[in-house]
Amino acid sequence: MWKNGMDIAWCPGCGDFAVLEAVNRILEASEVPRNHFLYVSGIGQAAKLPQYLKGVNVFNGLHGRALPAAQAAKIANNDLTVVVHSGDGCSYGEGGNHLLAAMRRNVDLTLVVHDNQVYGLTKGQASPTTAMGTTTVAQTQGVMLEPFSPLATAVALDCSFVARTFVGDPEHMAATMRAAIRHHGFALVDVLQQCVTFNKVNTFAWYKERVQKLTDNYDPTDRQAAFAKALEWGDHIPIGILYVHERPSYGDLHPALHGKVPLWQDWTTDMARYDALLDEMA
Amino acid sequence: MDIGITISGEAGQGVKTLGSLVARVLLDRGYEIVQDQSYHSRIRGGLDATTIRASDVPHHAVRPLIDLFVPLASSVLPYHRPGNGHESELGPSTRTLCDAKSGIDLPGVTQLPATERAIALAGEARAANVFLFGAMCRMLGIPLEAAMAAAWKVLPARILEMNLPVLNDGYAQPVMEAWSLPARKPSHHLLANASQAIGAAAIVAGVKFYSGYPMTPGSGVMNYLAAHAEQYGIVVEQAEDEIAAANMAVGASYAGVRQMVSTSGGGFALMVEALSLAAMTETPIVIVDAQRPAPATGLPTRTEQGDLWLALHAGHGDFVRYLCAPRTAEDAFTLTLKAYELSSRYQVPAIILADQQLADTLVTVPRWELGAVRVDRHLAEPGSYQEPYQRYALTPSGVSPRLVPLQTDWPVIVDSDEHDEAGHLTEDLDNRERMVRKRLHRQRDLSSNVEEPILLGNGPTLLVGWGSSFGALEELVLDHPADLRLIHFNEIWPLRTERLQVEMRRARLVVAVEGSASAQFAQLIARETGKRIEHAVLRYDGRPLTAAYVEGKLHDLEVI
Repeated sequence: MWKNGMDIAWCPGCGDFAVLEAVNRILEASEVPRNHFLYVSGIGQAAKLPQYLKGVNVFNGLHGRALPAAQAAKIANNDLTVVVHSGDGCSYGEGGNHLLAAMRRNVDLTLVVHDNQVYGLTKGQASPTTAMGTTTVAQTQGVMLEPFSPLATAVALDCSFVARTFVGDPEHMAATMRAAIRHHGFALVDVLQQCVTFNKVNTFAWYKERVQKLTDNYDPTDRQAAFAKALEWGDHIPIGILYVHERPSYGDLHPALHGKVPLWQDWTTDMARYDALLDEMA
Repeated sequence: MDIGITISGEAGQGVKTLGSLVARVLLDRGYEIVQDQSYHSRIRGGLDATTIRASDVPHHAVRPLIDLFVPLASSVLPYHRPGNGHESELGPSTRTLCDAKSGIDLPGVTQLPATERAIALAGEARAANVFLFGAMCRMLGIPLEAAMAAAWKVLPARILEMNLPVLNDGYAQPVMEAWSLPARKPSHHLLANASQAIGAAAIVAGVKFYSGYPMTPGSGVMNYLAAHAEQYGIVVEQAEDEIAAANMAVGASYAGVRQMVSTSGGGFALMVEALSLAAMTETPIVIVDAQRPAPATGLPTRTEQGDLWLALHAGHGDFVRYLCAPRTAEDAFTLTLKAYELSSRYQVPAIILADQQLADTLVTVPRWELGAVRVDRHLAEPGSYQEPYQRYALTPSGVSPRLVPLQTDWPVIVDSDEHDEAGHLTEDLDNRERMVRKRLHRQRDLSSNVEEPILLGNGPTLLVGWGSSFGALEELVLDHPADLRLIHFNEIWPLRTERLQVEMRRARLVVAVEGSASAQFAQLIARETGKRIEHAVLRYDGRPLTAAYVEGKLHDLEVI
């Protein structure tokens, strides 16, 4: 499908278009110049999003492995604003171990998960968030695994920013993603979206009926309440910023990074400073 | 002068410290040292042995025959019995020195009250090793002052102050001075293993980011960088797994920082997809694989050269890589710098194949000449690229000018999918062919940087070796220069075969010598030259090749 002069590989009606729209709005309104943004992704339909952005740095890596590359790039150059976009399969399935570690490591970056509860690009297999019992081309007798709860997992790991939003509410989505990017530390945004081709259960209308914004008096710093909220799923699905724990990021804690020039700029061709390495072997 | 001193005990008995003391004093006396480590994959018990070879000419391989044996536990004796063939061996002239408490009785044994005196003088049984160090120095004909000076360098001052009377007492024992090791001209040599040499070279090359996951024997490089992280402002990140470590490497390098990854075969296997990512995105990365016997978990603390095919072929698809295998710790430093240079210049992954023997064996090396080192990340200079900037701009050499994010105002776009010059995903098939050719074309210029293998000896039998076997083969060929000739490689890919083909034609017999069961390098040669090497000496019991081991096998072939 062609849009803005680009050959976009998404299906007509895909939830990814709304996410792209929100990202473009954020970039347009941001005081951070576009070339300070680094968009990282894994593999999948969602992971193609960075390719459709203008003027930003792009690292489109391997399936499930966006987070390790993104964290290292941020460590290497703290002047970059790093945002990862990938799907539920890439982020919660293939990349599960990296997600757990990223929450603990707390490198200052944002992970936006396009969560449509199904594998799209590989044509319709179950994802970690697919409901039990759902039949697919691969799970012909129905999914027998408990669905993965990304938000409960994130709160359990004390992830420093945990949010959910929905493509059907563009204002909410842009505001939530913007807050995540502004947050200092690792931020997870789970974006509920339809897959018009492969998910006939969790449709746009299905989500629309169920999502409920957190109320103004909700306290996202209350971890117990956040955990309870993160477990809510079914007739009512909460959206908004569920949990925030402001704390020092990896870059704040690391002596080689905190208050230092970006790591990649610490470069010398002066060999004199290395004599000490040889002296200690003498 | 060529003496082998073996200290052997159970893990946790202080073999390492006693070994460091002995190596230190011999280094200070101006001797050439090779100190290997042989240990079991456990934290307490088992076998923990070190053999220190001291000589007046340089060697790069261990001495399998024990001259002075210092066992710390009777349980280690079976490992060293004559003909065992795995650990350093007791011989008819071996002298043994031990603590009377151990009850060890061997021909030529000297039992001393080490623990008893340690408790009496320092109130600490663990000081028995300091006592033994004193007695060893006496036996080796080393002055007490030299023993003291070495102890001050190796032991924390607080501990040595407490143990000084024990050292003196050990030295004062009525042992026979069996050797005389006079001070030689100070060599100004360094003592380093390949883990340290690779780590130091990485720091010199400007590495600021290390990602890895602990795996013996690859952890030595990580530990070295971690120990110097504060001093040189390095981020050492222990990743959640090797997959993360390798993808971090690509992400860090994309963002402009020089990185390092080290692992062993099993961990390297997990990094393979990221190697392919580095190749596709044309991101320079350097990975060390310190090999150990495999498949699977194998023998975690032993040595082998069995990952050659893995390192050579790792990664799906066709791509260019640089693969080197240091001969010695000295060589490891030089080749590591070369790996960074070539990886950056040609924007290809580089793999350094070390192994447990190289990683753990301390050896005297001439001080590296830092003044001659030139480091360059090969980032594009202003004016050296066309605007708008395209990361994968086609050039005659296949190397595109490389910018990193925020080096200029231009964004840098890379993709693991096939991409066009701008870095954008495309399924255009003509573009695909252009990009494949561009990426592979770099091998031509990369190859021109590879050195020919070295030659030693003038005999009719040609030994073909690579990597860490050099020390053993050098020693063997120098002993039999009229029978043997050695051709030895430390750069494996791209492979240079001109000199090899000349030598193979000239030789009466060609023998591949490798630390693997399948003669992997010989098979690579056959692939590249069409010439099969008919004979092989292969060691795959987990212990390093030694001159004596290869010599025995060559006797069987009746070539010496």
